Amino acid sequence: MVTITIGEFTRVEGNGEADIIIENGEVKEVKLKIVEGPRFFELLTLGRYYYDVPDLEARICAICYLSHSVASVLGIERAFNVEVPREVMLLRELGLLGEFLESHALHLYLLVAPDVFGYPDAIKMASKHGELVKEGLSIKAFGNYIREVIGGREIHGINVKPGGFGRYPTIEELEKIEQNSEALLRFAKRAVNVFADLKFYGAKAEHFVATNSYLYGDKLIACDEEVFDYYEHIEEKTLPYSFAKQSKYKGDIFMVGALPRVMLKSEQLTPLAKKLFEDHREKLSQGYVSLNNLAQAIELVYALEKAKEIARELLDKGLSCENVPVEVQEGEGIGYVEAPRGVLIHHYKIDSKGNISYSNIITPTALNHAIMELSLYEEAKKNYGSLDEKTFVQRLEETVRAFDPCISCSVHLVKL
Amino acid sequence: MEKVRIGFYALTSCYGCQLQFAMMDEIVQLLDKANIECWFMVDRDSDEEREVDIAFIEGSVSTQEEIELIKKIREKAKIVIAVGSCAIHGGVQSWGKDKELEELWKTVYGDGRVKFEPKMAEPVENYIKVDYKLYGCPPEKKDFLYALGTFLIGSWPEDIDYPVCVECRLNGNPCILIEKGEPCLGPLTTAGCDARCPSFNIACIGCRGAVGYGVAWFDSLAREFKKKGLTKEEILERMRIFNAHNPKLEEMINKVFEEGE
Ligand code: SF4
Ligand code: SF4
Ligand code: SF4
Repeated sequence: MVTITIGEFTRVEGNGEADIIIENGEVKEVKLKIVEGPRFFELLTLGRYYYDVPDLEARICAICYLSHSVASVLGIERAFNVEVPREVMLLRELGLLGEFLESHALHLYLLVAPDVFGYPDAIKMASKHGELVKEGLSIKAFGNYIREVIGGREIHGINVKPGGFGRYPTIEELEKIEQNSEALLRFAKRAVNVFADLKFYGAKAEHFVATNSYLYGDKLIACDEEVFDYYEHIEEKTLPYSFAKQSKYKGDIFMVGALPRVMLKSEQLTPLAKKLFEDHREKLSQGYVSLNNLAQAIELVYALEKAKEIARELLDKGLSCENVPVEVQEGEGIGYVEAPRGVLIHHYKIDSKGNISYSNIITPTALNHAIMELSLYEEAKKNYGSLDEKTFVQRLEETVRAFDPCISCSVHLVKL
Repeated sequence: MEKVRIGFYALTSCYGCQLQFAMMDEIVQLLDKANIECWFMVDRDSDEEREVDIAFIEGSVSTQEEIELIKKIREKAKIVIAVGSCAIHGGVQSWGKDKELEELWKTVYGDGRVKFEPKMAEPVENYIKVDYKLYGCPPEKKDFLYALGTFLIGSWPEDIDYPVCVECRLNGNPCILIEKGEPCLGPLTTAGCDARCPSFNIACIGCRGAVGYGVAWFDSLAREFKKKGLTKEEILERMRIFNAHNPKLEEMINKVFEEGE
């Protein structure tokens, strides 16, 4: 038996490894390992007063901190039966769109594009494709700008609170968001062309899972038309070789992320994004995980169109800047958010004093662990023996990257 | 001029510090003056074995392997910079020492027999000498620029030894602690963020960690909080988020609650 280990994946946010186990000249098994220390976020919040919890949990991940804050806030508000007005929800959506822009741009332009054009990294790619890198960076910077305005900081801001915000955006900021969304749209359209040409690789998931609204939800949906709460059909188990747990939907391997989103929720896309989706529908329906990249590019278009739409609506109606009072009561609530990488779940029980008595966080990378492993297995099987070892390893790295995994986020799931 | 050799290493973290650093516009200019020897996030050709002039370390020390790694980094680096609250203070993952690690481990992974040796999250300084610190969760972009710029001209950057309140007053914000009675940690937290959160009308949660040099007066602030009706547990819990390893914290708070009225 031989084992090929792919060491720290480069250009992936976090420390992951994969063991490719070869027996009698054939790929027998692939083990995807998450090797960095767990941070026990659920336990950190146990017994803690609810108010600081969203800020603490933002620290799970820098790339999608706002998704964590919003999921946490939604879970807490549901536990307390707090209803926030449309204005607050729109601003939260705007923040989440900023996060899509930031995260998808980082992933597509800096991590995936070098694979597409055959460069070891974005810095080296920039010498030939400087324009493209610049376009990506400007989309990313704009996403970060939105995160700063809505979230309070580009990374780990603490402006999103149960009941509303510390500070509401100014008219100038909303106008700037509207204008920049419009201006950047042509870059995003170009991205769709660039990433439409990607090869197919990785596995096909048996199921797609997403939240019921485009950016968040009160239930999950799946491609078999099930509408459900996560604990009804998603089961997790621990693995002997990894800090992350593995999940199955009704016992099968499933996928969350941009591809499941556009496939399950194309009706909710904005006009141009919808059109681009229709143009590529046939291709996307093939279901290979590498198509996640194309779906992300379409979502860049969606995010810009939608951000513009929201900014305009808020400008037309004017902001009332009023938070809803939060009254502490005993309760239970789940927040479902579409983080850039897919479904993110924060589930809490809160006691009558406002302290957290139960907490469960399930992240998209954890939900995708099984399909990621399967994809590696299939790619390894297909290519072992026919590619030299260096190219072989490179191909597997590309496969992992298609998921846009964020390994730091995958080690934070717990059942208490 | 010889190019400065730089390494950026991640321990257990959220990658926010390096992301903040990598995404600065100015980084492009810097790249002309520096050789990146090891930085997995941006350069495929990275190697932990190479010697560097400046080593940036992000994240808390949370596994046995990470202890070995930072010892190696220390040997190979001229200057070691601890970046962010995780590396400097152990970070938010420094769950209070009152919780038993074994128990935590079991709760999370059950009898899943995960083959790793976990340990309590700790600051880098518990294992190796650290030459400079970039405070914050994550540090501000200007923190990176200042430190790096100063090192690049062969000088030594200054440490920050005053609290967030100083910047907050300069900004002319209304004081959240005094006017709204919210538990703002600005009075004991290292400045440099330009009082970011109070400027968003939100009480500081202390993400840059307590000011050093023995001037973080946990006790006087706790006395204020106590007057506003916070319990000892609530005060400890809030101050501990970013200061779990501070040796003075518990002692000072205990004192306040022993004083009586
Ligand atoms: S200090 Fe904060 S931003 Fe930096 S790695 Fe730690 S949690 Fe992330
Ligand atoms: S709001 Fe906070 S940081 Fe500002 S002066 Fe008051 S206590 Fe200090
Ligand atoms: S105000 Fe406090 S919590 Fe906010 S950035 Fe500054 S130190 Fe961090």
